[in-house]
Amino acid sequence: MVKTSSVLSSTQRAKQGRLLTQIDACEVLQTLREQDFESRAALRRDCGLSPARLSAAISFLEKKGLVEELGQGNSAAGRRSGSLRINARYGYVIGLDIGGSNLRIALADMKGTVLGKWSASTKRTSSPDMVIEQVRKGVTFLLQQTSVPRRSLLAIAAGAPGITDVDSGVVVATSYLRGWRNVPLRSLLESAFHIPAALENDVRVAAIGENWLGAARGVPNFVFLAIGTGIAAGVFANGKLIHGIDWTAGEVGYMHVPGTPEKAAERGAPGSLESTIGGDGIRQQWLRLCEGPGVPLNRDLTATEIFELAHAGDMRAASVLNRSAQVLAYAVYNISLVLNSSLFVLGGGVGMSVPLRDATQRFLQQYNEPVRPKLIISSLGQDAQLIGAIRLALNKVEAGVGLKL
Amino acid sequence: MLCAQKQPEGQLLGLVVGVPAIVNVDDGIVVALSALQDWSNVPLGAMLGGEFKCHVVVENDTNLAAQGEYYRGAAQGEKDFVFITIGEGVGAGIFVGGSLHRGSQWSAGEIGYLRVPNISREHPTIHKYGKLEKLLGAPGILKSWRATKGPGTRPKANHAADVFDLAAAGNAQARQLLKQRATILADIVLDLALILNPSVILLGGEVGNHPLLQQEVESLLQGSEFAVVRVRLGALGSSAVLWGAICTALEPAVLGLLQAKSPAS
Repeated sequence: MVKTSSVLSSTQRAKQGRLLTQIDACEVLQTLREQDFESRAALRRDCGLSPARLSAAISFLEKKGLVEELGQGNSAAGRRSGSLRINARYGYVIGLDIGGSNLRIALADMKGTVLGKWSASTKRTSSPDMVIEQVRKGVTFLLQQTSVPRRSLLAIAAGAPGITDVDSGVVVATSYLRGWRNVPLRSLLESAFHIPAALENDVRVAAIGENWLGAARGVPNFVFLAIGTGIAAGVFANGKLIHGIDWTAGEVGYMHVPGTPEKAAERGAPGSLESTIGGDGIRQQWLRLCEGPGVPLNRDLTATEIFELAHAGDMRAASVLNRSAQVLAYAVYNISLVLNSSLFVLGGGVGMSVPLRDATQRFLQQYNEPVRPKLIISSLGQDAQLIGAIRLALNKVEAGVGLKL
Repeated sequence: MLCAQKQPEGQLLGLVVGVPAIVNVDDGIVVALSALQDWSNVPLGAMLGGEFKCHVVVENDTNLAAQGEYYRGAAQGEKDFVFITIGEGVGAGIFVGGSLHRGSQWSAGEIGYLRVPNISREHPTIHKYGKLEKLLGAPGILKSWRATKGPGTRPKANHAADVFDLAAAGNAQARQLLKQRATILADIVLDLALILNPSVILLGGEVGNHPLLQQEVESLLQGSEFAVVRVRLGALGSSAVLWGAICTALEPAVLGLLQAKSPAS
């Protein structure tokens, strides 16, 4: 047997011990995220740490004030054994959802409980500086409303609609917020609030939300498919988001499947798939039917309304639903073949339509193996991004706690 | 081989096997194999482990080829890439963040069943090659070539690669056939590029490893509006699977250096 003492000095070993405690503390925090525990023994079963290591990790977290142990009594072994939970009021975080037409802000405590929400239109707010100014306004309002002191804010995180370089915190390009090219949004937020900030693409942020508290809770392999005006996917593989080499993984709106236009779209124009089953594509199909013979149709319907009409028995609306579901089924099938993902969470204005989900699932049922993906509708709905942003901000806080020993 | 190298059997530390099948790598089980229907949930790892007293790993052959290209071939230093093999069948090995992505039921990269435009719809079953695979694989290409009619005599081709060689030599019909296959392949590459955004997509296998096919696919993708991806040929040819197997066998876990319990203590 190799004697470690002959290899490492005592200082090195102490350093190693501290590192181990840090790692264990992160593990304990992650376990406490899911639920409170009635005793150390119960927590140990879930963490799989030895009593000594768990004890070191807990006292580290208690010293920080991040974890509290309540109703402490003395067990037979003389070890304290009360219920354990994250100290929700250790600090607070801000989650941002910067959308094409709205800015939404939420303030949450350390357990992720949302204490207040604020929103504003971004239609006339195009420049990054103006968005930051709006965020400042919203955060000030929320702090007042919840009586949280500003110094208790520990981190801020944002979902941005566009290609987002997570490493450098830069929004590379966006199609909705015109004029956004290489905007260093993370450092803009950091200098506005003097707290750590995190940035992620909006669809991936929503996927994080669904993985944390929504329809894909704890599922390591799934696809969040957002279908609105455009179409994009947030992919979890082995519990991690796929970003790709240029941060564009999941831009499936440009996929070609049977039934989509063969000709490549112009640069900047909607992709092949989204021009067929994105909100505008579906309305185009409907308008073509409105031009045709038969009883006049209501031209001003949204995609969701058209699908509801189909569900109510309208034959012409049913033809639009059928075609959309067939194309969506091809896209889902192809994505699931490549990734072998068995769960798809549908989000976005169009994606959350129940008739669309049902019709698409029927098409998928007809296919045989190798894959038969299951489609479910997002359970967080339009809050998915805010919840995901809160998770990102909390991750930032937890990582910071781990680093500052 | 051990005899030829004058090595005792006890010196054998690891055995890595590539099979053209969906493989549960954790348990060494061949879940399903498209060419041979008899293979379904075969515990190949346990069977070989009984024969050879060493660590046995069973893995999908395309995944091994991707490993080979990653360690020794054209994907060195590429953490996110896809290796597409086209031979008898079609499949892909997917690297995400420097390791293989196998999916929730070990079947990631089974692209032989993809629904792409220009191919009629047919519901594949797991034991049958997908429609796309039938067209794009070597037998499909030879079948199309033999059915080709046109002016003059049609040169003989024994292998699918011969047809592509004829295309490279200027045969118009062979050229047309290659173009048609490249169109299908370009749609596959587009799907993979959009979903995964890899740094490079490598083509390999008896059919896939052809420079003219690669050029044609890349030029077709030049016009695409998003996710322009590099398409290159694999560097290891038919040795890719073997190299992948050797590199896998040399991993610490396989050599027994990373065991859960240390046998000494």
